[in-house]
Amino acid sequence: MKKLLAMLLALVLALGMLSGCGDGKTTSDEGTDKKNEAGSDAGGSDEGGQDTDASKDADTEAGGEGRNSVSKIAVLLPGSITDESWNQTAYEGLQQIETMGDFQTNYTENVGSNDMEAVFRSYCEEGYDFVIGHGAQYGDACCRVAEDYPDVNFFITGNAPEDIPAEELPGNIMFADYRECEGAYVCGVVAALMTKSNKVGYVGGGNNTTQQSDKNAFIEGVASVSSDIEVKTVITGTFDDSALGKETAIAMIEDGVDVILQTCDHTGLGVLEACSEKGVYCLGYTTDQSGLVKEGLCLTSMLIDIPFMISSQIDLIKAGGYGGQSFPGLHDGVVSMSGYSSEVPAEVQQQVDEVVEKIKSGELVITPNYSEN
Amino acid sequence: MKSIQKLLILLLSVAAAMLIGSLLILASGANPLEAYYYMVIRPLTSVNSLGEVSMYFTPLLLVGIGVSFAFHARLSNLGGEGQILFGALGMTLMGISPVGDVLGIFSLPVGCLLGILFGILWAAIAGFLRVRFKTSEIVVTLMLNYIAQQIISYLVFFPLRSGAEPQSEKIACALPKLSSSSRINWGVVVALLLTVAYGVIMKKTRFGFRLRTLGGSEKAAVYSGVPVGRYYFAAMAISGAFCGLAGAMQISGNTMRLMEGVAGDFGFSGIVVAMLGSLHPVGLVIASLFMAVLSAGSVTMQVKTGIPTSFTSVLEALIVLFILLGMALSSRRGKHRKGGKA
Amino acid sequence: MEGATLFNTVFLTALFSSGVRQSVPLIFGSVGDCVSEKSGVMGISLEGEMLFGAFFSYFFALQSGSLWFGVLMGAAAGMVSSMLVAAWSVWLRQDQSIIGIMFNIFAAGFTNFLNRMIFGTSNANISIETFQPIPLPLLSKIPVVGEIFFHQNILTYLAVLLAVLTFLVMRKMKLGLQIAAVGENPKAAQACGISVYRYRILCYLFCGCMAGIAGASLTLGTVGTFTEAISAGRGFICLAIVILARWNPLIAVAAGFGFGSIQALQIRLQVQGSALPYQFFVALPYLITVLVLVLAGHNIRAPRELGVPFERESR
Repeated sequence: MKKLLAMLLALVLALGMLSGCGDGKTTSDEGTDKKNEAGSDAGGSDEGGQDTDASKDADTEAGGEGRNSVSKIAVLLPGSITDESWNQTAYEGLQQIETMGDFQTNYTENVGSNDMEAVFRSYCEEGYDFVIGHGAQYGDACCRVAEDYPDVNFFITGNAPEDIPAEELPGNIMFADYRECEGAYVCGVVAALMTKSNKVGYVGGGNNTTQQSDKNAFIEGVASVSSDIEVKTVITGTFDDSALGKETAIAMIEDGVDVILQTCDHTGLGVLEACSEKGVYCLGYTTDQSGLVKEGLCLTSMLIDIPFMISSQIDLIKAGGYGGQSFPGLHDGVVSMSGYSSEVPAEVQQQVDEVVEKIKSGELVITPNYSEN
Repeated sequence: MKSIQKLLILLLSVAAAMLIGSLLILASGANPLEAYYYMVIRPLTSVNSLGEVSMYFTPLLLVGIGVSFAFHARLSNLGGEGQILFGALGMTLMGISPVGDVLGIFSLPVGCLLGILFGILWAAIAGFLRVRFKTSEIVVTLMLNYIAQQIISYLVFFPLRSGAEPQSEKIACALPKLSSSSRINWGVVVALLLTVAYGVIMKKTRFGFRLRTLGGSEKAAVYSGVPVGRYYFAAMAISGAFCGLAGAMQISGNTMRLMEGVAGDFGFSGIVVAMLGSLHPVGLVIASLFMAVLSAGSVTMQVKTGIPTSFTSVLEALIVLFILLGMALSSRRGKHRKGGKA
Repeated sequence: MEGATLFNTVFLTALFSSGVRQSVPLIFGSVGDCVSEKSGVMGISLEGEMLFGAFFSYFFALQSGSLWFGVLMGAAAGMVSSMLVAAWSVWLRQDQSIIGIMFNIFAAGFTNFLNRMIFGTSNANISIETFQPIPLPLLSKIPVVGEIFFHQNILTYLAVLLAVLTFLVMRKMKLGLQIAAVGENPKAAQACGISVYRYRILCYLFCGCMAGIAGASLTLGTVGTFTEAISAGRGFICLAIVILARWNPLIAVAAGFGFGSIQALQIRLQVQGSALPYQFFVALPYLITVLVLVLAGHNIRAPRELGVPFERESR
């Protein structure tokens, strides 16, 4: 009798949850629609310009005819698409690409080091002709796969593996080490100009090159304004613990920090929550995050224009000159800064704009620095 | 329990889990039949995709055997992940060190041995605490997973880092491939041979017999003169050895470098394999094949239908829950007939 | 910053205050687990129940506009989901660790799934006002201590209150002794007319309920929204706390506070610019647990039948 009851309970539980999902469906659609609109607004603000200073490699002709078109695009993401950050930007960018042309797109979330190669191969087997690994960590696995699928174009949003000589890199991969750190540098400048306590903070998620170079560039940016400003840094070691993120930010704020940049996805959402609650300035990462905090607190956001990055690769593929390594950044609009919040005074805006212009013109060069400290 | 009955329960459990799974698939707006086709059948249809299956098969089988050893002694080794990571570390140290050049062709087996040793060391902590203080190996192995993750993260970030990315250098000793047209490598053969060894140890040796006695009842084991502490420790250590080997093969057969996340979720999936295979050597092989097909297939399923790969883990969990349900109900039915009231 | 200024009262107040905040989910979880482990059932699935609690508390708080209704539903979700675990591990007498782990995997996948279904990919935009700190009259006026312990949100007080009540029930009431008997010697308990199954299941449901509130304290007490995998290993920390606290709910409060403070300290050490790698700090709570077990393991005695399924028919 009781065993029957137990089974019934389990069944009711399962069914109850399922019916719960059914109801929610309509709201979910609305949610994504809104998000897409927001995304396309942000996308419109950048300034065309398409000169990737690609050191176009020798093997351009190696690929043959099959390689000069794109119809099915896939992206491998290291995290989850709900992080309002690195992964979600890529996911939404992909959706935008779908509307821009006759493309079929797909994505896989949470691709860890042990699955990388399998996922790459799976997309290739299923006829995808443009496969993107969103992060430098995919470079190594991609090189192994690319040799077996010469007709597929690959794109890695990071630098090429250093121990593979440039001439041995497969010609069907483009490595775009986009200079997110330029945005982080500008954020550093903004933070330095806006701080009153002379203490600013950086919260990172974990160990990868992007995180590392962002942190170092942020510190450089701050130092370029004044050497008196302290930069407090914390690496939380997780991209998922929003509660920890909030406590981290509070610890910083209690220490006197009054501007914070976070680059740690879900954990970062907790940071933003703390900034909002305590009325402290923050800087947005990869998407315009001003909607996530109280009015005006998000001074500016660094934006990564994924759709533009992908579409310019597609143009390259069609032109037949694909492969090699490129370093997009502020100068070609792949990295850009969102509009300023009302809290940023005009003279600060002007100063920051000057820095942005300098980086764009090449007068100021931000080299990614991957070292600790 | 009769083995036919057991088999029936396993099949029914898988079916029941897939049924509930199909409700979830329906709820996310996809066609369950199509999804399951890509998940279960498609991976078996080409040489290439079979090679992909093998990449999951080897570690699953090895971890499954490891976990089974612990289960025989009624220990739960939930620390597979940490032990895999340490095994991977052992292999990497051999693969990137100058000693590897000296050893030449032998660096691969020596690397595997080092991986095994590292796996044993990591598991031994839990074994020691269990034997010495009766501390729950469950909690300790779980904690050790987190510590291992951070140790590996530290190592690839600082001492072992090569270049910008936090990963080690490429190792020099790769597992040789079995065929040139897919990723399948000799690891599969090694894992299968070890399964035979596992079967022989459990069925034919005094060690295996005593381990099973211990698992059946600690009291009985004590009465029959089994050095209980030593056997608990040995079960945990062997468990760690297999997980360590799985880790070593992950490096030499898959990623070629040490980086974060090389253990994937094999630590926990290995438990599913052990359950599904009901600790029987042949069962383990079939179970890890099935799970490997699911894992490889889930990637394709996601590509084709948009159902997240995390669905697979939900499905795996459901399968195990149903197996446990089935086992419990069938072992009870016998007793009910004898007039026990439920 | 120099050591002299590091450990001033302002710093310490902030540190321990953060420690208290971070201990809230740990206290709820470990007090619940104390009870269920006393009765012989391990709460390996706390992690998953926390996720259920976190998701449903957020969902219902959002729908109803009432934080308390959210907490209630979070507790209910934790409890309902723990029924599943209780059914398998007590009624069906299966290995608790396997069920726990499988349930956690299931819960992580399932709450993500629900989250996407209901909120799409952008629920971070839908944030709700969290529980605000309520200074307790008089007590909050005590220097330093008042600021640390009596200037917290209502869930913190609730956690301590429940821990004290649990302690009293477990130590001073017949019910508590009966629960302990079920965990120590179920056969004898059964002979005394105690229904082992009923006790174990009710204890486990209590544990699930507490785990649900723990989850709610993350979404409604801290973050204000649900993010995937928000429990982030806290359920496992609770298991460690219970061992270190030797199954005593009051010590569990202290141990929970200790763990919270370690976490708060590691963040602050990083803020102060420590030279140690961050991985050390992240692993610290787990390292301490294992170290304590190695050093003080011989003093710790678990309930005898902990984790051992009880077979009613066995004579």
